Amino acid sequence: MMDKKFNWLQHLDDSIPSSAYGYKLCIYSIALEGWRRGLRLKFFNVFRKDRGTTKLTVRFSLSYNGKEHKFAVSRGDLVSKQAISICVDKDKTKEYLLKANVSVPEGKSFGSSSSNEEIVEYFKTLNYPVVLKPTDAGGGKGVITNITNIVELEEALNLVRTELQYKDVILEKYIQGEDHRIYVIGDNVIGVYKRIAANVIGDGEKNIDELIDIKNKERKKNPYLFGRLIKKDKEMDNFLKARGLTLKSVPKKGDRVFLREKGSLSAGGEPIDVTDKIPNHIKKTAIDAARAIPGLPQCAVDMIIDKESNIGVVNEVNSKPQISNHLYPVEGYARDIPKAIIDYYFPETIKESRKDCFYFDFDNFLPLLINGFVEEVVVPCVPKGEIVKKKLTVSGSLPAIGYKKWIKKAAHSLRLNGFVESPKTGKLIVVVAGEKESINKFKTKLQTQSPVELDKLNITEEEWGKTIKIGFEIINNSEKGNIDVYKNELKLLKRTNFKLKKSIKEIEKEKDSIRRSTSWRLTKPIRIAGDIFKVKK
Amino acid sequence: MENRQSICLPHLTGEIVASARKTKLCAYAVALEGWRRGLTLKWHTIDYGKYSEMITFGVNPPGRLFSLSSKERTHYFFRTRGDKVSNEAVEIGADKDETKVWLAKAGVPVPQGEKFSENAADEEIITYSSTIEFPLVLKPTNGSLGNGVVTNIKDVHALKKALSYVRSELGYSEVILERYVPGEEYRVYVVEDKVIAAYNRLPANIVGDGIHTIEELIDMKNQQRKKNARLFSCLIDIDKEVLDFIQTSGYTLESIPNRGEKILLREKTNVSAGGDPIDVTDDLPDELKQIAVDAIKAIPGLHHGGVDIIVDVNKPIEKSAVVIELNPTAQIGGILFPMKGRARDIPAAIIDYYFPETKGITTRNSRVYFDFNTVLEPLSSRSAVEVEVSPAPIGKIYAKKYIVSGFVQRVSYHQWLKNQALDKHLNGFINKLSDGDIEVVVAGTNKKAVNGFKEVFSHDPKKAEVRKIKEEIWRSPVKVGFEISEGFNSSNLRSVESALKKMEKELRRVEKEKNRLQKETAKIKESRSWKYTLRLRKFGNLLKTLAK
Repeated sequence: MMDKKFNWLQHLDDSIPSSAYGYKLCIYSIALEGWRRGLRLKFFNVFRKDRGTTKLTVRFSLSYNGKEHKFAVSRGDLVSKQAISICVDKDKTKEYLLKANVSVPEGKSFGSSSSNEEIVEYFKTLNYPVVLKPTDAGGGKGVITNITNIVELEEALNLVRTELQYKDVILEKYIQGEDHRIYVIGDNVIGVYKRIAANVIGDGEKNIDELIDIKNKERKKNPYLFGRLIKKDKEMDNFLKARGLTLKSVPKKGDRVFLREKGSLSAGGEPIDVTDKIPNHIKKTAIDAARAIPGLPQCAVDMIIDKESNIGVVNEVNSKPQISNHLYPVEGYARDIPKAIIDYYFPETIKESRKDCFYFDFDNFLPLLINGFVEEVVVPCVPKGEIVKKKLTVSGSLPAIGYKKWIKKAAHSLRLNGFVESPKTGKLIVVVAGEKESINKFKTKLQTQSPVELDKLNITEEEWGKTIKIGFEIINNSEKGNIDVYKNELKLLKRTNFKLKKSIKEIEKEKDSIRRSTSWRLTKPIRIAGDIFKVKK
Repeated sequence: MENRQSICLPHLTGEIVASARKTKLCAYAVALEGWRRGLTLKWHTIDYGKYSEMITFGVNPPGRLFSLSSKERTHYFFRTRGDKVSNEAVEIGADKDETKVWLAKAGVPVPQGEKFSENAADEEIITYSSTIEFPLVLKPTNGSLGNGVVTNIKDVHALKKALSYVRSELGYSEVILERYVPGEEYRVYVVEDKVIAAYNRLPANIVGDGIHTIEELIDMKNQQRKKNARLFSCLIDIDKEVLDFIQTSGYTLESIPNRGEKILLREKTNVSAGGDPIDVTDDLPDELKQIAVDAIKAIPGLHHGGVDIIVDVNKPIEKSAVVIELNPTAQIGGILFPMKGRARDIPAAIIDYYFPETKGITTRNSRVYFDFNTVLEPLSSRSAVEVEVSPAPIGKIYAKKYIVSGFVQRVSYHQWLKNQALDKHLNGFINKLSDGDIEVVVAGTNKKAVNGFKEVFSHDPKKAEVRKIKEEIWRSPVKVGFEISEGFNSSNLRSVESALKKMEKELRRVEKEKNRLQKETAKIKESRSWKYTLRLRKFGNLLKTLAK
C-alpha cells in the first residue's frame, strides 16, 4: 500500500489496548501471540527483590496441553539462572565470549581492590581511545566513552568509581561504529535494529519546526514511542546553531537533518530496522555470542559495527531485552519476535491457526494486579472453530433502559464476543463474533425475544472487518464522553489550583523576606506610630 | 422499643459485605472466611473447566463460583455448597418427592402423602385424598420459591379448585398431595452431625409503642431494615395485600396499636416480602435438632445443607416436627443478619468441614476484606475466566490514617508512596482530598511498619514538601491491596460531576486567598516606611555584595 508509512505487522493493527502501550507492549505482544494460537494465558504478580526493596511486578505464563512456560517480560523460563547471572555481569559475559572466540573489544576488568594507578598503567598498554564502564550497571549508566588521554581517564575514574560508587569497572578499547541490537533465538537472527538520533527529512518546502510537528504526529501513532516525542529545547537550538541552522531553516528534499547528539528514544531517537542490511558474518557472530553463554536460547546481542570495515564486536548480551522496537521501527520492516519466541517455546503450535480477529482485554484487569487487589488472572481461551463477525444495526422504538443489558446477557449465554453501543437514541449497534450457529441463534433471539414491540423492530446486518476484543462490553457513548470531558476539566482545574498554590507560596515567601528584612524591622516603631496616627485620624 | 442496632457477626459487618447481595452474599461470606484463614481464593466464571462437573444454576453475573486451596488440595464451591456434596444429593434435594422417599427410608418424619405423575387423572388424586386426613397441601414436585404451592386445603371442593389451578393453569402436572402440618417453619443449617444455626421467619410485622400509627411504625421498621445488610433491599411495601390483611384484623393504617402489641401485616413469611428472620438456634430443642441432623444424613453425599422443618407446638416434642424440604445450596444471609437473636457463623462451620486443619485460626477479630465488585469486574465483562484474590494478611492488623499537608499533590509522589507501602507489605490507599492534602491509610500485620510510615512521607527522593502530618488510628475495615484513589469513582458520571463541583469551589477559595495575599504584600511594598527605606536597603545590598 502506498499511503501506509510504516511496515508494521498487520495482525497487530487494532489489537493493542491502551494500557499495553509503552513498556507493557513486550508483555502484551508475546502473550497475544501465544493466546491467539489457543494457549492458556495467565497473568500473575510476583514480589521481586530489587536492590534491597521489593517491587510488585506483573508476569505471565502460557500453557498448552499441560506444558507451562513462565515469562518475565520477553524472557521465558528456558533461559537458565546461570545465563541470567552471566549476562548481568559484563566481565563474566566477556569471559565466556572470549572462550568461544567471539570478538570483543580488547580490555580488562578491575575489582574494587584495584587502585586507579593500576588502571592508568594498563591504559598505557592499550591503543586509544578507550571506554570506561561499570561491570554491573544497566542502561548505559556510568559509561564514559572516547577517552583519549590520561587526564580524561583520571576524571572518568573519579566520576565512576568515587562519585557514582561503581568500584568494579572495565577498561576497554573504544570501537568506532554504530550500536546495533540483534535479536537471536535458537540458531537464528530474527531482527536487527539500530538507533539513530532525532531527525527530520526535508521535503524542500517545510521548515524544521514544521517537520518536527509532523514527525511527532506520526510518533503518537507508534504504540511504543507515543509518549516520547521530540522536544524543541535549548539543547536542540544549540545543536542546530552549531550547524548553521535554526528551526526556521528549510532542509532540501530528501536531506536528513539530525536534531541532537543523543540517540536515546526518550530524546526523540528512532529505532531503524536494518535486519536485511547486516552481512551474514556479523549475524553469525551474534549467534555465536548467544551460544557462548550456556542456557541462553533467546537474547539480544549488542554489537558495535563499523560500517567501513564491516567488522563487529560484541559489547553486551541481554537476557531480557525489550522487543517493541523490532515491532514498531520508524524505518524498515517490523520483525515478528513474538512469533519466533512462541515457535521456540511451543513448537507443537506452529501449525495452529492463529485467531487474528481477536485480542484480549488488558485495561480491565491490569490495574487490579498493579494495585495488589488480585494475585492472578486467567484470560478466557481464544474462541475455537470457524469465526463469523457481524455488525447488527438495531433500530425502532427501543426501550431506553435495560435493553443493552439484555443484549449483553443474550450474547453472554451464547458465548459471543463483541460489544453494543448506541450512537443515538432509537439505534443500537451490536457487534458479535462467534461460530455461525451461535450468531444465528443470537439473531433469532434478538428478533423474537427482544423486550420491544416486534413490528417496530428493524435489524440490518453486515460483515464486521475489524478485530474484536474478547468478552462483551456495553459502551456508553454519551456517559463515557461526558465523564471524559469532566475528567479533563478536573485535570485542568487541578493544574490551575496547583499553580495558584505555588504562587501563593511565592508571595508568602516574599512577604516573609520583607518582614524579616532589617529595614522593615528597624522601621517598625515608625509604622506603629503611623498606625496610631492613622487611627486618630 | 426493640433494639435498633442491626445484628451481625463482629467480623462480618454490613460495611464489609456492602457490595455482596443476596446469593452473592452467601458466596462472599464463605469465601471470605476461607481467605482470612490463609487459603488461596479464586473466583471463576462458569467457563472455567471444573464447573462442568458440578450442578450449578443462576451463575451470571459472576460472584457465586469460587475455589479455596490449601497447599494440599483445592475445593470448589457454588454459593454455600462445596464439592463434597455429590451431584446425586443435589438432584435429590431438587426433587421434593425424591427427598421424601429418602427421608422416609431413614425414618425421618415427613408429612404423609403421595406423588402423582403427569399421567395421573385428577380423579385419582381426589380418591387418594379420602385415605388421609384434611387439611392438605398440594405442591409441584419441582417448583421452587413456593411457586404453585397451595396450603390448607380444607375439603374436596377446595382440592378440586387447587388441582385445576396448579396442574392446568400453572402447568405443573407432576404434583405431591400431602397432609398440611400447621405450625411454625424453621430453617436449620446442619454441617455433618451438628446444627450450626436455626431460624424462623415471621411475616412482616410491627410492634406498637402506643404513640405511632401503623403507617409510621412500618416506616420505622423499614428504616431499621435499611441498616441490615441482608434486608435493606427487602422493605415492607404497603400494598393491597397488607391493607386487606390488617383490615380483617380490624385495623387501618391510621390505627395506633398499644405499646408492645405485635401486629402481623401479611400471611407470607418470605424475607423478600418483608418477613423477619429470627435466630432461634438456642431455643430449638435437642430432639428437633436431631431430626435435622438425621435428615442431612439420610441423603448420601449431602454432608451439609439447610433443612426446613415444620413444628406443631401443640403436639408432644417427639411427634411435633416433620421435614418438608432440604436445601443443598441453602441461603444463609438471613442468619448472618437476623432481626432478633444472634448471628451464627455458618461460613466458619463450612470451612471447618472442608479444611479442618485451619480450625484453629480464628477470624473473629479480622477486619480485612477484598473489594468484591472490583475483583469480579474482569469476570463480568468476560475478559477473564479466573481471578485470584491477593492473599489476606494473617494476624493482628495495625492501621493508621495520615493526613499529609504541603506540596504533596504530585502523581509521582503518590506512586512512590504506593511502592513504599507495597514494599513494606502494607495495604491501604491514598485519597486526594479536594483541599490539596492527601489522606493515606496504611494497614498491615507489622506494627513498626505501620507506625513508622510517618517517617516515610518526607523521604521522597524528589523532595515533596511535607508541611504537616496528622495521624490517627484507623478502625474501619481494611481492604487488601493499595490504591491511589482519585477521591471519586472515575467510571460514574455523577461522582465525577460532584468532584468537579468541589474542585471549582476549592479553586475559588484559593483564588481569593491569593488575591488577599497579593493585596497585603502590595500594601507593605507601598507603605511609606518601606518606600522611605528603599535607599537604605539598596545601600545594605551594596554592602553585602562588597563583603562577598
